Formats: sequence, structure tokens, C-alpha cells
Amino acid sequence: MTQGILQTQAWRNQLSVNPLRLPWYMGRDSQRIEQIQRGCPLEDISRAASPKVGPKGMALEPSDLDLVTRHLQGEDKAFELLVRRYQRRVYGLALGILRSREDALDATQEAFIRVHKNIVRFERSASFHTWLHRIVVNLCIDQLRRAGRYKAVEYEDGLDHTGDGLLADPIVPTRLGTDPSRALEDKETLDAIRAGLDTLSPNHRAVLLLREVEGLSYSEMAKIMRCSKGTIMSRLFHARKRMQHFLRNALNVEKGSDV
Amino acid sequence: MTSLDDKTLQRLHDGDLSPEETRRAESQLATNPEAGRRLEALSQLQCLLRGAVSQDADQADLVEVWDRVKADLGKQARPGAWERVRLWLGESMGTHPFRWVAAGAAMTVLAVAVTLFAMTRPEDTKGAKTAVEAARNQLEIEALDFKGRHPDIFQIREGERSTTVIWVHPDDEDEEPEDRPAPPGGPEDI
Repeated sequence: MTQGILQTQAWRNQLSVNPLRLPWYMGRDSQRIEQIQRGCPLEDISRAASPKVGPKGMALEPSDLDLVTRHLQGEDKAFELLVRRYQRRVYGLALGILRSREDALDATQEAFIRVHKNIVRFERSASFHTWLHRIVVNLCIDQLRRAGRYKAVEYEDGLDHTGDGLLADPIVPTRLGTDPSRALEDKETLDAIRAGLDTLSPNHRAVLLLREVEGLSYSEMAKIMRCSKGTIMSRLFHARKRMQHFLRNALNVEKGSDV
Repeated sequence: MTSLDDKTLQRLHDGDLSPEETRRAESQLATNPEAGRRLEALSQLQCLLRGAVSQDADQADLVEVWDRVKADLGKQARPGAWERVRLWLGESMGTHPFRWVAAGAAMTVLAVAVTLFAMTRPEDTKGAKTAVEAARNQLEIEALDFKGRHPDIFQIREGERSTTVIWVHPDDEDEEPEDRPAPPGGPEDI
């Protein structure tokens, strides 16, 4: 086993024992803390908002599909539950793509209104969260287009990964240690991440956030972005590479110290 | 050292490899420290992004999102007639290729029905109006005093209408002449 893999595992372990620093999508309840302690904070978070399940596998909360059905049957409260269940994730994604808090809040509101308006067309065989994410991404891209802030993908969408590849060096200064939560306490690091996202095209931001934050699969992202799986992989590769180089420059090279 | 390209590393990181591919990639990682560092850099980026988005989302006041959504939905009027027809068609006919033809035929039938209704309706209204006026003009007779004379009462029918005639004979005319002239004033229509 390489040192790199051991360090990655160490990151995961350190993140798992610090429940106060859980990502927002995990919540702070015991079930989700357990989920992290099982060692999966970096995976499968797209299901983090899934209904809670009891000890014998009994659902403690209604599923998304249950809520959709109850809403269509005329139960007003069901739609409110859906909104409250997904509002943080929708806002986080919208903010990541739009890069403006006010616009992200408007987009969050508008996304749920669109969901309400089109929910009769929602196909029960599909995943609600994938459908919701598609609405959010389309809404954000449209909003950027209208505001004249949309720029097309600036990289080739082909699968050619020649040239500079992914970094083989850490992108966080060693003075911050290997604990990601500690690195995130550093304002410079946070600012650099935000600035790095600003440099990406909306499509690259969307694909990066859908994968890294929402934990969606390539297939789910391809459906949302209406492109091939290969295009998703390529966009993700370029977005990651660009972010890595930007962060390394912003956090390490320019300071010329830590790494 | 075996090679492990970025594409495979990315798929490994994202859980897109099959179990067999994953096992193979992990065995390659064991002999390739450079690939391990690239994998670690990917994990670092993921954690940083999640953490940053998390902190940004934590700073937002999302308490009012539902209230805003509810208020906006409340403002929106009930779906229009066309929208309801479209939804109904969508639900009942799905993606049937001839659904719009059927919808057009239904609309045509509806238009014809409305036109026919509009054409027949005024007459019905007129008839009802006449009946009401007739009822309004109808006099109610409680008693008729013929001063001891003998009237003849008969009705003249003219289609749907009828006229009641009361013919009062003069006192001195016990026997009517053959060519008796019409009495002054004529018959009394009631």
C-alpha cells in the first residue's frame, strides 16, 4: 500500500471523527454521523437526504416518491416536506454554479416552483433527486445566459487527456496538515476554492459540483447535462485539473513556502 | 512500476470501475506511489470542495425558502383552461401519436355544439319571453254582471292562441232577425 493511499484513508478517518464539522448535506443527527463513521463521508452523499430508516429497515420518513404521490393526491404538507428536504442541496448547487448568494436563493425558490408546476410530468421510474438536479442546473445555466455571464466550455470535450495531467502533489499546504476540516478553517484556502470555481465555465462547475458535492454517478450527470458519459468524464477531468493547478498556485507556489 | 492513467484513476476515485477493474487498479496502486499521490490529490480536492460548499450553504438563511415558495405558488392563478386541457390530454393520452388530431376533433365538435346552441338559444328565449308577457297581461276576472241579460261565451282559436268572446244580447231582442247587424262596439276581447 502506498503512502498516498494511507494518507487518503487518514483524511477520511479524521473527517469521520469530527461530527461538528460534517458537511451540510450530512446534517448533524446521529444516523448521519454513523454514516460518516462507517467511512463513507466521501461517497454516496447523493443519498444523504434519503429518508431515514429504522433498525429493522422500516422507513422512518416518507420516501421522495411517497411525498410526490401524496402531493399529487392533494396533500399540501407533502410538497413542503420535499422542499425542506432538498432546499440546502439545491441552494448549495445553485450557489456553486451561479457564484452569487442572492441569485442562488432566487434560483432555489424558482427551482421548487418549477418542480411544483411540472411534477405531474415527473416519471415515477426516475429518481426525484436527479430530476430536481436537472431542473436546478438548467435553471442556473439559463440564468447565466440571460445575464450574459455564460461562457461555453473552454476545453475540448473529447477524451484526450494528453498534456498536463492530474497533480501528483498535495494541493493543500503542509502547514495545514492532512485534516481537510483544518484546511477549511483557513480563510485563504476557502477564498482560493471560491476563486478557483470562478475560473471554471458554468458547465465545468456544474459537473464538478454534481460529482464532488452531490456524489452523482457519471450516468446521472449525463442525463442531467444531456450529454454523453464520455463528455462528462472529460469535463470532470479538465475541471479537476484546472482546480488543482489553481489551488496549488494560490496556496503553495505563490507563497513559496509550505510544500 | 505499472502505469495507471488519469482516466482510470478518476474512474477509480468516482467508483465507476467494475469490481474486477477496481481490484486490478488497486493492485497497480500498490506498486505505483506516484499514482497513489494523484489519487490522494483527487480526494483532497473533493474534501475541500465539499467543505467549502458546506460552509457557504451554512451561511445562507434558508428558513424562509418554503414561505417564499408558498407565497409565490399562492400568487399563481389556477392553471388556465388550455393548460388544464393540455395536462388532461397528457395524462389521458400520454404520447399517443394522434393525440393532437383527437384533441383537434374534440375542439371542432365542441365549437359546432357551441355554434348550434348559440343559434337556437335566441328563439327559446323569445318564446319564453312571450309566455311571460302573456301571463303578465292575462286579466283575472272575478265576476261579470250582465244585468239580467243572457250572454253567449265562446272561444276562437288561432293556432296556439285563443280569444274568448262574450256576446251580450239586448233586452228587447227576444227573437233575433236573420240578418242581424253586428252589435255596436263589437265583441269584447278578454
